[in-house]
Amino acid sequence: MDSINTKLESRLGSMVMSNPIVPASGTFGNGKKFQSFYDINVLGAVLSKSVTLESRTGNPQPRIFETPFGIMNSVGLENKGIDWFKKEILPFLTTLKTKKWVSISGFTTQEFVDLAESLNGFPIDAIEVNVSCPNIHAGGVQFCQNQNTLKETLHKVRKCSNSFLIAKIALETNPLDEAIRIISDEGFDAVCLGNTVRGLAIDVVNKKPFFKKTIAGLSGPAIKPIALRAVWEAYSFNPNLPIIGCGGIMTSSDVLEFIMAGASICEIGTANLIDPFAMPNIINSLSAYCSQNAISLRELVGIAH
Amino acid sequence: MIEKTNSTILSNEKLASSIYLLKLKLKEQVSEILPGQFIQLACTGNEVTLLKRPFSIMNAYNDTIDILYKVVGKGTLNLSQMKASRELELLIPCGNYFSTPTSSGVNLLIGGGVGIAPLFFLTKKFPDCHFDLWYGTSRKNERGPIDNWTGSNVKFHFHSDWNTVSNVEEFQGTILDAYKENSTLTPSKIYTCGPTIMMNKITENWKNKIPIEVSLEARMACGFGVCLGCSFKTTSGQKTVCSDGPVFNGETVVWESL
Ligand SMILES: Cc1cc2nc3c(=O)[nH]c(=O)nc-3n(C[C@H](O)[C@H](O)[C@H](O)COP(=O)(O)OP(=O)(O)OC[C@H]3O[C@@H](n4cnc5c(N)ncnc54)[C@H](O)[C@@H]3O)c2cc1C
Ligand SMILES: Cc1cc2nc3c(=O)[nH]c(=O)nc-3n(C[C@H](O)[C@H](O)[C@H](O)COP(=O)(O)O)c2cc1C
Ligand code: FES
Repeated sequence: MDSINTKLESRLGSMVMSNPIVPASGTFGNGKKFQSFYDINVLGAVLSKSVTLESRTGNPQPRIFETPFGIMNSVGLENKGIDWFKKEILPFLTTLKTKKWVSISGFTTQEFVDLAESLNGFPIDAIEVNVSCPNIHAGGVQFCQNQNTLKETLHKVRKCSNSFLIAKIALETNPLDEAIRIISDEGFDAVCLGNTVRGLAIDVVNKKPFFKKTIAGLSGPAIKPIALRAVWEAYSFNPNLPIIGCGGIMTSSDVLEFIMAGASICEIGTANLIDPFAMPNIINSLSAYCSQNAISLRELVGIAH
Repeated sequence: MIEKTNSTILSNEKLASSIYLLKLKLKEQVSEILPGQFIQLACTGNEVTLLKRPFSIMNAYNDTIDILYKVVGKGTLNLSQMKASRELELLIPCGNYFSTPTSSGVNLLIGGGVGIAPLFFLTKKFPDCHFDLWYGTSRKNERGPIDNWTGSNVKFHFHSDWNTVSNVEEFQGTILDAYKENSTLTPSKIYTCGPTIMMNKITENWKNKIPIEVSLEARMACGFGVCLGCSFKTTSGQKTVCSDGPVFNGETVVWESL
C-alpha cells in the first residue's frame, strides 16, 4: 500500500472515509480470512456477511455457476444468526481501525426491526439494510419491489435505530425513482445500488434448472452496465442522496465510471472471489490516478452528468 | 497460509484420452504443501473464465508442483491448449490435508478418475508407509501411466467401469465392486477421492469399522472460505469444502447435501 493519499478521501453523506473501496456483503466473509492476505484496515470500510435473526443453513448445492463474464450464486443467506454474530464477529470487527459496517437481512419487516434494534449501542459505523431479499409476507416479492412494504420497513427501522443507515436495493427495482424517494424521505443516509440480478441457468443434461431454487443471483462484469445505469438514474432523481455503487466492479477504471455516474463509494464483490487482492490493488491504482491527474475523487462524483 | 503467486508451465503432457499432467514451477516459495491440499488456478484463455479452478496437488518437490487434470469444460479446455513457459496465477496451498497414514498396517487408497492425484501424493510424502492403491476410471482409455510412477511402498490395482473390447463396451462394475471381489485385505485406514457417489458408497461399506478420510469436491468460487459457495452439511453443522476441507472424516458427511 502507498502511504495515505488524501485525494482518495471520500464522503458518504456525513461519513468521512479514507477511500471509497468497501467489500460487498457476502464476498468478504466477516473479514478474518482476508486479514491473512493483507491488512484490511486499508479499506474504506469493512462490511460483514448479511446476518439474519436466526441461524440459516442456506440453499442446497450446487450454489455456484459461472456464466460468460459473470457468476451466479444461490448461497441463500447462510449465516449463524445475530446472537452468534454479536458474540463471535463484533468483537473482532471492533478491533479494526477502519469503518465497520454490518449488513442485516430479514424476511419480515419485524425481523429487520429486531435486527437493527439489537445492534443499538455497539460501536459500528453503519448498518446496510438488505431490502433486496424476499418478503415472506408478500409471497416472496423483494421488499424493495413493493413501495408499501419498503416504506413501512425503512420507516420502522429508522425509528428504532440510531445508526447510519444504508438501504441496499435490487438493481432491477422498478420504479427506481419511487424507491429513491422513499429511501430519502424515510431518513436513510444512503442507498446501495445494488444487489445481484435475478437470473436462471438450465442444466441441459438433466433438463432441469441448474439451481435447486431455480432463480439465482448474477454478479460480476456481466451486470456492470446495469449497475452503472441504476447509479446514474438514482443520481439524476436525487443528487443529494449519497450513493454506493455495486455491481461488476473489477478495476480502478470501473470505480471511476461509477463515481462519475454519481456514486460516492463503491462496493467490490465478485472481484474479491477472483483475486483476494482485488481491493488493495484498486486502491493503489486509484491513488496513482489521483496523483497523476492532480485531482481528488470527491471532485469527480456525478461529474459525467 | 495461502499465498497468491505466479507460476510457469514446465510441461503440459497428454497422458490419456482427455487426461493431462501439468507441471508448474512456482515463482515464490510457499509454506509446506501437504497431501490433500489443492490450488486455485487461473485458467483463462481462448474461452474467458473468471473464477480460478480447484485442482488437487499430485506432487510437490522443490518449487515445482504436479497437477493431474481431466478436460471437462472451458477452463480445463483452455489449460489443455497451453504450452510450456506460459505464466499462470494461482493460490497455494488451499484447504486442509490428510492425516498421517499408519506405519504399522496397510493404508487402503481408492481413487476414482483424477481423484487419484492427492492419493498419489500421499504415497510419495510417506515412503515408509504401505499403501494398497485402487485406481478406477470410467473408461479404460483414461488409465494413463500412473502405476509406472508409484514407489515400492505401493501395491497398484487398476479397474475400469467400462471395458472396451472391439468397440463394444461392457460394464465391469465399480471400483468398490472390484475391490470387494478381489481383495482379502483388512486395511487400518482408508483414504478416498473421486466422484461423490463413490466416496459415499465407500463410507457406507466401512462405516464404524475403519477410519475413512474422504476428499470432497464442490463447485467453488473463492476457494478460501469467504463466499460459502461450497458449504454443505455435516453431523457437526455446515462446513466449507474449500476451507474446512476438502478432507473430512467420511462418517461426518451428510452426503445428500453435496
Ligand atoms: C478440492 C478440489 C480438487 C479438485 N481436483 C481436481 C484434480 O486434481 N483434477 C481435475 O481434473 N479436477 C479436479 N477438480 C475438479 C475441477 O475443479 C473441475 O473439473 C474444474 O473446475 C472444471 O472447470 P472447467 O472450467 O473445465 O469446467 P466448467 O466449464 O466450469 O464446467 C464443466 C463441468 O465441469 C464440472 N465441474 C465444474 N466445476 C467443478 C468443480 N469445482 N468440481 C467438480 N466438478 C466441476 C461440472 O460437471 C460441469 O458440468 C477438483 C475440484 C475440487 C473442488
Ligand atoms: C457468493 C455471494 C454471496 C453474496 N451474499 C450477499 C449477502 O449476504 N448480502 C447481500 O446484501 N449481498 C450479497 N451478495 C451480493 C453482493 O454483495 C453484491 O451486491 C453483488 O455480488 C454485486 O456486486 P459484484 O458484481 O461486484 O459481485 C452476494 C454475492 C455473492 C457473489
Ligand atoms: S469456495 Fe468460497 S467458501 Fe468455499
